[in-house]
Amino acid sequence: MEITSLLVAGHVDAAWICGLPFVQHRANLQLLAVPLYRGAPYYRSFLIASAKDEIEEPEALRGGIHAFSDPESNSGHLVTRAWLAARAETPGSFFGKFFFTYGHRNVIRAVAAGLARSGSVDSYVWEVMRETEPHLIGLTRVVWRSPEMGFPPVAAPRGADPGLTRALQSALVDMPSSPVGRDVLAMLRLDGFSLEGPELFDSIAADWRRVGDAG
Amino acid sequence: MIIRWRPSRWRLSVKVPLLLAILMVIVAAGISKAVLYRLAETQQAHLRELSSAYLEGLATALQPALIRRDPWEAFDVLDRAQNRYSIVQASVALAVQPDGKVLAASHPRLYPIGAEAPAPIGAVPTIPDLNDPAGEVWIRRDLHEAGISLGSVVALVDVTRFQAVRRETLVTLIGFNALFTLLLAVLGWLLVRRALHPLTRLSDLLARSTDGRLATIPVAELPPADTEVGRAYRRYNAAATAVDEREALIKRLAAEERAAVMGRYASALAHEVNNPLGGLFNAVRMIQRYGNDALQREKAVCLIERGLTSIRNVVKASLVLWRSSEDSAVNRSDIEDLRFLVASETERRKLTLEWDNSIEASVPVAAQPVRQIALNLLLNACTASPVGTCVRFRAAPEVDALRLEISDQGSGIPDEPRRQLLDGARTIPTTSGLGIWTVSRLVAELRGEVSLSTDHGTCVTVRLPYHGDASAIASAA
Repeated sequence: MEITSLLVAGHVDAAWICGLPFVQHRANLQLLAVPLYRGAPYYRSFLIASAKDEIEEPEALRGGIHAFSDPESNSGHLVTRAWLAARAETPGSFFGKFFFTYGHRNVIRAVAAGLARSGSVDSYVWEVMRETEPHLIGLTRVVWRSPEMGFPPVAAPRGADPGLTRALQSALVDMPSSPVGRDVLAMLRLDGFSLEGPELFDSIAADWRRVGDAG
Repeated sequence: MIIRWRPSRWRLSVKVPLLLAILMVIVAAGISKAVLYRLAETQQAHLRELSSAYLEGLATALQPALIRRDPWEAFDVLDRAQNRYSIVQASVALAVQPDGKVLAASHPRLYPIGAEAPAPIGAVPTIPDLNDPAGEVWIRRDLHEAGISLGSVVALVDVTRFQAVRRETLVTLIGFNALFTLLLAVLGWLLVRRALHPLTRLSDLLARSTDGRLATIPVAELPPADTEVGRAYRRYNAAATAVDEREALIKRLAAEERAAVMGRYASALAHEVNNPLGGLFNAVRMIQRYGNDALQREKAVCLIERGLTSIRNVVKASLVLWRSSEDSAVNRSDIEDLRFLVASETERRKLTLEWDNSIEASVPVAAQPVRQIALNLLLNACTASPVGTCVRFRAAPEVDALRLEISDQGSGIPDEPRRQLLDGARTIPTTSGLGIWTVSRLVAELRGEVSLSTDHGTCVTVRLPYHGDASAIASAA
């Protein structure tokens, strides 16, 4: 939230933010580039549970303790709330208890330790951690996958210096062509950056509206 | 070595080490208890300090989470603290809300969010009990802010390592003390053995004494005279020498006694022979004077025959008395002969001799000492008897011993001869009591016993056990 505020206020030139704040502040932000994960600018939200939990349907998570990532997170909060709103439910009515961990990794830790029965987590984070922390990920399993959504983008204030924004865009898009850029992308498990239109985030905007309508 | 359960009879070399070992066990038990008590106190303080530091750190970190009732933040703190405070070895830690419900636990599967705290919060002791049989104790720290309770931090601490240290300490103490006790016991045994060596040697020397003679310790083996052992050995040697001299004296006195007895016998013999001699001379004179008178001559010949018979009996008795076959069994005639040897004494003092000899054949007791004992006692009885009284003699074979009884009607036996008679073998005889002392010595040699009664005179009873087998006794009876 802090980063988003700084970005909207124009105190930073650009930032890698979640899709939800981009949608929320679409009027004040411009899209610079979207990361390419597994060759496409998409990711999903996962509902995860303990690996020992043998449930088949997300409905079976009713009454349990749920861990969200961050109130401003799309995959770690909004998607699950939209999924609940589509069933005329809220976190308070569906889950026995829920809390925020303020980090996708924390959601995975909470579910793996048994603090929460289920959690809402970014598919990109979960997949990357499957490589970096397989023992932790091995304690969880995915119960439900959301449809594909626009990957969290790099955005800039709408009134930013056009020269700077162009330079940033070309630096991001050209990353695969430089050794340093390739190292950074390899570290982030990304394939590169692409220039996409804001309509990529329409589904997130729709979820946001649905949740807002549901109250 | 077999130790019977009679401690007063145990050897010193056993008693002292055993006593040392018992004392050592008591001391060791006391020391061990004190050590373990101090160790427990130190561990308690150590655990208290560790727990306090651990809980204080957790409480500081958990306070915001408890205020906000944020289970994730509380879990994050507890989860990360597990590795950071590994020295405390808390198996589980909990953030508990004021209502006793779990806000978060380091092991959420054991204590889920909202579950009841594992034990009533008030019941969790602030001072952990290290003796908990489960090896785990609960520790607690309450959180307050401006007088408002925020909840508690509770942790289950593994105390098995403290218990293990105490067990190891106990085992070490027991092992060391057992070893030390054993060493002390062995050392005590060696020391006592060494200290008692002179006593043992003296005891052995005394036990080896034969015929009343004691072997002296060679001068070369004597320790310096200014040491206790040196003094003891020298005193022993002096005593051994004195005993030897005493034995020599006793032997000399015995020889003198034999000589004295010989004199008495010679005197008695002369007296016995002299009596018939007077008759014989009378008979000779009768024959010289009235030899032609057949009647007178016949009377004289009868007198001569009686006199010669009397002399022959005396000579025969004397020959038997001094024969050297001491080991031969005493027979009836051995005892009967004694009558002739005391006849002169009884006649001189006009005494009546009541004679009861029940020996029919022989009894397995050495004849010579028996005769000497009986004769000495008879002569003494005659001497002690007033003129005209009666002296009784009785020889009766019993199942396992020959019993001699000699009694008189005298005024009793004085103290000195009485002691000589009853315990003469161990005392130095006085010249006046040689006869009594000889009796006592001979009775001792024959392993017999003497008893004395002084009812209407003196009655000496001598019991001399048989040295042969039962068949000999049966044949004697």
